[in-house]
Amino acid sequence: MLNNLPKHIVRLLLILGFSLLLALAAKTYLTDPSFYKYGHFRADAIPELAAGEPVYKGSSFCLECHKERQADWSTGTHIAVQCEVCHGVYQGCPENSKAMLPVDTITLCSTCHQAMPARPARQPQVVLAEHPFPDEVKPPCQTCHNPHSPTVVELLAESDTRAKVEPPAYLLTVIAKCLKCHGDKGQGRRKNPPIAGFESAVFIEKMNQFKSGAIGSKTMQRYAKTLTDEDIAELARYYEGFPATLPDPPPE
Amino acid sequence: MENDKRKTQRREFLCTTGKALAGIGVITGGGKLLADSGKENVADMAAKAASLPTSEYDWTQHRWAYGIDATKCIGCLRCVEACKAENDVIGDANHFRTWIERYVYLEGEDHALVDSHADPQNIAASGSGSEYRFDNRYKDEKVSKAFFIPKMCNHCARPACVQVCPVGATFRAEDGTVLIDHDYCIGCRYCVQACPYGARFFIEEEGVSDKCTWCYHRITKGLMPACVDVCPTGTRVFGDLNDASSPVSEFIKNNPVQVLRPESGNAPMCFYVGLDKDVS
Repeated sequence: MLNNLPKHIVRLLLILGFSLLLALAAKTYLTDPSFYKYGHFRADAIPELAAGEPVYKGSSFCLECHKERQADWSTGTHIAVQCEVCHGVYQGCPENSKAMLPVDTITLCSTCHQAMPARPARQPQVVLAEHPFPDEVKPPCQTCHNPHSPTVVELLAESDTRAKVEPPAYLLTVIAKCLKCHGDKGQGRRKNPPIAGFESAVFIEKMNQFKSGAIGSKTMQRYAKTLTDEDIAELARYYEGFPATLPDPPPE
Repeated sequence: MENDKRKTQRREFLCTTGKALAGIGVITGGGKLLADSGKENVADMAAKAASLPTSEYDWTQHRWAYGIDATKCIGCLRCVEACKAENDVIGDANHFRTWIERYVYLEGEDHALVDSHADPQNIAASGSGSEYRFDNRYKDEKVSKAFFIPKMCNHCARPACVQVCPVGATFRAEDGTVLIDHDYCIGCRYCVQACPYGARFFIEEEGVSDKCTWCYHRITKGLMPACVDVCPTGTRVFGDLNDASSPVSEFIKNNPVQVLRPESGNAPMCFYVGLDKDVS
């Protein structure tokens, strides 16, 4: 047969046959032995991929030693935030513990809590420029917020820069009565609004409105009628110096 | 005379063609025999699959899936940084296994403005290519609707990337994870092109393609992927579909879920709550 076929056809067929043999040999000897075990891939890759050591340790690992954090972290809203989110990946404690303490808390906390249009409304957010007070030097977040249980707002009196005004002695009983309904820090309680940090001019105007009956509150009218203008001015000055706090949450 | 000549020519032509076809038939048949001998190995798969690839983890017992509740995402980007730390991903902005997109509808606009954490303006705002924050560029605008969408490899049930890989470097494991064998990858980037979600990327230094692996080294040890662990709002859930009480089974049961680009036919295994009309 071969002598009937033209030479160039014979050569083509020989090349074809030889390439086929070469391909089969390559497939048999150059493929990894574990290939085709479970499919068209190298089976040994699976244990290699599964073998890596996890980097993030998880909060239960941290709490094994840091039991002092268990009480406030596990009851606050930051229970959803793992230790390593704020403190960084575990780098070895106590050797590298200093590296794991956040330094710039304003940048850190605003990563989640800076007000942004795309953030869902249920996320607690603040406009950084106005928090805690507009146009003032920003203290680090942990001044007022316990980072492990941030729903509790504790203002340290020493760190508040507003001047504390001493109340006149004769008004102390009056003040006690005010604070009974408006919260011991003037923060407001139930339906009674906060009076802490009120601008004195506004306070005076409001008290006069209560006195005259312009605002219809029988209770406040009763109290306001017992006060003279000087008393109201003194109280206004005193309450203006109160550090502003969050009102008490409504009763359950 | 001419008829005889033609008859001879015709006979010779038919004989030659017949022999040539027979020759091709022999070669093809032989080739098929050899291929069939290869097929016998694959037929042994059942017996061999009984031997698991990993000693302490049984991949036949799990069917992994992922859930994302985009209504909860606050765009803090802790997941992006955690993934990079966990999986040793290159620290620059354009190599990432998971990412967050921000969609903002300004008042009066029909279509959203989209940016991601890798946007140069956001990188400039964060000050570093390896620490990620969204900037606040819309704070003075009138925004009618805005939200974040986390994205990642969807570990599809019918993955296009696996189909196009010429060497079998990427594959779907029996537990549903789509994985990459970096030793076998030749760096052709066909998979990067094929993925309809843009989940795959190329590592120039190593010459291989890479993507999210659902932290295979963590889930085979009973842990969650790093992104799920660090998410502070519960946006990301992961679990075993074979277990009705796993977080992802509960997620799918309790929410109307969607997938990205269902028309691609890839059958993705990342289920979303909160996809908007402009998200694709």
